[in-house]
Amino acid sequence: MRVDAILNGRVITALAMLIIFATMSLLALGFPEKARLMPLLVGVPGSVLGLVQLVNELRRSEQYVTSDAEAAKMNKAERSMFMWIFLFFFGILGFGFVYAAPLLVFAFLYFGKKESLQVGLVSAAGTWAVLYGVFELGFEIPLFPGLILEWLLG
Amino acid sequence: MDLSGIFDALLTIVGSPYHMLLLLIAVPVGMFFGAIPGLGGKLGVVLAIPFVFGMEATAGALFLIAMHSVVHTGGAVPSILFGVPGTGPDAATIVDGLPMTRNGEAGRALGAAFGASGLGGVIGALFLLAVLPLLRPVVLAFSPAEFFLLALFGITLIAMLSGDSLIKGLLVGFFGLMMAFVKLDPQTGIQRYTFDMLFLWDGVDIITAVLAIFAIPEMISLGVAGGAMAQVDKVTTSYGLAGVFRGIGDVFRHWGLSIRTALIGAFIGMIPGLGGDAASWICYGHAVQSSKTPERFGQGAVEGVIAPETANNSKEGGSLLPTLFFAVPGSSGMAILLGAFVMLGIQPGPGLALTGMDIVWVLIWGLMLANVIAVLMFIIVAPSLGYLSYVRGNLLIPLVLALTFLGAFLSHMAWENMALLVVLSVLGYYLKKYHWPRPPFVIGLILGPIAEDSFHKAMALWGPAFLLRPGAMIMLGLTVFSIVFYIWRLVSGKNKPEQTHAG
Amino acid sequence: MRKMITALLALVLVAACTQESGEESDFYAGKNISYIVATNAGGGYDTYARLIAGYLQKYLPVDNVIIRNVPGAGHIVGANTLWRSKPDGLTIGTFNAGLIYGQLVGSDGFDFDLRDFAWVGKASGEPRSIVVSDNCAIKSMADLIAAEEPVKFGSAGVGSASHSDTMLLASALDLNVDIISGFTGTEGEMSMMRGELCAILGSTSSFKNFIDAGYGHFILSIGGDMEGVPHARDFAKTETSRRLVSIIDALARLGRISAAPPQTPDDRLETLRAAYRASLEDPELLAEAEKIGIPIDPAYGDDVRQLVVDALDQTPETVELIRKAINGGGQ
Repeated sequence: MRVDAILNGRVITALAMLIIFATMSLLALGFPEKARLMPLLVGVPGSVLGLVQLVNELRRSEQYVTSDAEAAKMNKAERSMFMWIFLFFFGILGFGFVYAAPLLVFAFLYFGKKESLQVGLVSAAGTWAVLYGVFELGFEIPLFPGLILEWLLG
Repeated sequence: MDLSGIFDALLTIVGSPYHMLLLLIAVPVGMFFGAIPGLGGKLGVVLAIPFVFGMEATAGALFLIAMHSVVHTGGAVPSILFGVPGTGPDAATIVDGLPMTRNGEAGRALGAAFGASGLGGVIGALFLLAVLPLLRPVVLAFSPAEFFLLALFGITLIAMLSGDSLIKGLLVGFFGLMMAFVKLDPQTGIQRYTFDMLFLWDGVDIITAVLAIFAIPEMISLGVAGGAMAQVDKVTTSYGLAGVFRGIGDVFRHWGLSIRTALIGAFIGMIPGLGGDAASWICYGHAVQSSKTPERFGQGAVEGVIAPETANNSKEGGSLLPTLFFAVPGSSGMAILLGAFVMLGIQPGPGLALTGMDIVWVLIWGLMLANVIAVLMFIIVAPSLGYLSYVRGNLLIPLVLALTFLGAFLSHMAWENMALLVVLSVLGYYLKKYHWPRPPFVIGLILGPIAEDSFHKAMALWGPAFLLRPGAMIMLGLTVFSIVFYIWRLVSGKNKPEQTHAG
Repeated sequence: MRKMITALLALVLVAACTQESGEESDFYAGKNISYIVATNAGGGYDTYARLIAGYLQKYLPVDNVIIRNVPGAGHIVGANTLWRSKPDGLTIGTFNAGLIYGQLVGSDGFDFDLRDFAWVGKASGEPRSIVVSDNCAIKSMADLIAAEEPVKFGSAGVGSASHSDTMLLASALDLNVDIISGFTGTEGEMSMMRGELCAILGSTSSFKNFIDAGYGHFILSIGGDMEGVPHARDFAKTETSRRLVSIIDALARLGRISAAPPQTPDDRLETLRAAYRASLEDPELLAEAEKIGIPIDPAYGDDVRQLVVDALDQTPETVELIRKAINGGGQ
């Protein structure tokens, strides 16, 4: 129980900041003189502050014990949203905006949030219309075609 | 100054149905571009270039300036309603605009934003007019030494925007600074933290970073919590016309702040190299600093919307000065405008003051009229916009996500920026969840390169003695004063330092 | 009957053959060409590309020539993108010839070999020149060479063509200079107006506003001859310095180069080259360029390829010299 309380999200966030500053400062030591000046000037105090904040969060971790059920529910919802973000990323990366985005919009609404088929399809159609109509046709900006799609089409 | 020339120019615009038509098209187009993340600013002007290519110089320039000057006006809309910045500088509007939407005051926030933008634009144009005779000495007064200290001053604002927790605020601000150091260092040519990833060689893309830190976390929170952006139960009248007018009224109620931030924004816009992005944040910081009740900021204080929005628009007027009269663009958007003006046959540069003042007057009037028209157009559309804040979050999220990815991609046509977007947004979400202040990150990211670059140049030019330059000493004094002022407030209890506050 | 069938077959065969050769010129019909520009919209390369694109559209049966801005890493990202594009004749690109320096000294990030691009041509090749501010004590090359205190020169970031050019020239002519880097665009000129920097080496047309307004004057040209201004070769006394000057000279002449990806089929490349030439010789384009104020001094196809290959053909000693000169500045 103690370990759980200590390793809560706040502590981890503070720890992450500390690690970022410390790593960047260490890497900066390898740069030539002019290039490392500013990074160290900011990174070293940053690491110190990060450490201070980490200690602060550790000392206060007892205050933030929420009920397991509540925390679990929030975590589940968060994980689900993160999953969708990654899905969006890989979808668009693979198949480009014009095709992937409407599909993903539909998937999110219909499968993810249990909206009606109608809402899903209309939103997807709208997304496609804006992306294709406004950007590709209207402005002639070539939108990212997607790495996988590009490879498939040769 | 030839007064008859000034009014002739006005007549040229207002008296010609063709010119008025161009204005009436340019304004909504500009606002639309501003509202779509990543499209505003540079890309928008680029897209207009084929359209104006064959046109007569006056008409073409009028269209472009009208379109460009209302981009940030439009950019306020998604910032306020969804927490998605339409353009980089509009991110500052999110800090108080979004909470206002949450409180059911979306209409008021939008009204304030548009009123502020309109006022800012007009004042920016007037500033341009007033400063013209003084132009050369003022613009030339800013050397790398002054830039460095100006950036330093901006960075001290980080402390002031830290809300409750100074340490967290400093950490986030420093993190922004560290991110600014990720690039191919122009002083030594070596890669810093880029590990052979070419897309980072020019630095972390600011639009991507801002979208990652503000927009996506907002959408994640919305997805987790459910419901709509506005988190009050009853549908108040504040999204309707009444709220909008109240917002516009707020701009005039806080007339001191509005005018001050407009002037500061125009001034910052006038200094090429500082970039307009910094203007909205610096004015936001000023609003916090000059308020008698700074703790309201971040929770939905209307001044927090007025300040950045006036600055956003007034800086365009200011940045026309170096662009037109020195052929030195005041911002990246101005760089493209500069190219477009040249294509139209206008020759920006020191010679313009002698031969081309009539075009300058047309541009100034265009700037003013466009801003006024934008406000009027907006009043018509406003209520429906405010209603968007009550739309189900589910519908909003996937569309906004798609737009966010689009914005990250569009700004440099690099898919890697989308990856960066995802990585940074994870951090952004947890910063939001655990109440780490996020605005300092943006300030650090914007001012970092300016601070470092100016520092090295100043050292190369004068050595440490650069601090003794008069301009530098003034900025240093201002910075010290700000810090002292902040500490004094802390001590006298106006700011609550971090204690056992839940954050 | 048989005769008729044979005749028919012959007819069909002939038709098929003529169809094939006709097909090539039909290849471009109804298609789009992508013109990759290695900078953001609004820069010099972008302006040239947009101007030329309009005329390529006239001389090729394509629907559109679409400009694709692929900025990043000082033209490297754009060049890499062009290198990786499909060599089907539907893509061309433009980037800074300064990448030659990078290839010579083996810089990071280069996926390409400049020799292997399918060169289309170049649009201009204007001289680069040294501009001195009127605030500066240096008034001529004689002053510069004789300077005892290091003269403050401005340049863009370390690794950029501007910086490499400046370092090379300083080394070639043995100039006593202090190069301060990080000045992009017109920042350098503003610094000169403030009296901080003394001089800049850059493309002549970019200094037009500055000179016209009376803030400075030219003291040296390289990569082309300018009236009343000495050329760098006049000051190159040793074999080494002559060689270095000729490299800078050659690079300066390679302005606004355009190429297609490697292994673009010869016939399609020829079509592109022909259209490019027609565009740059079109009097309307020349008039437009004049109006905008951009110089046109073209070279085409294999001439450009030869220039590139020659520039890259340096002895290891010279490469070492170049590397030392360019990297000497960064610590």
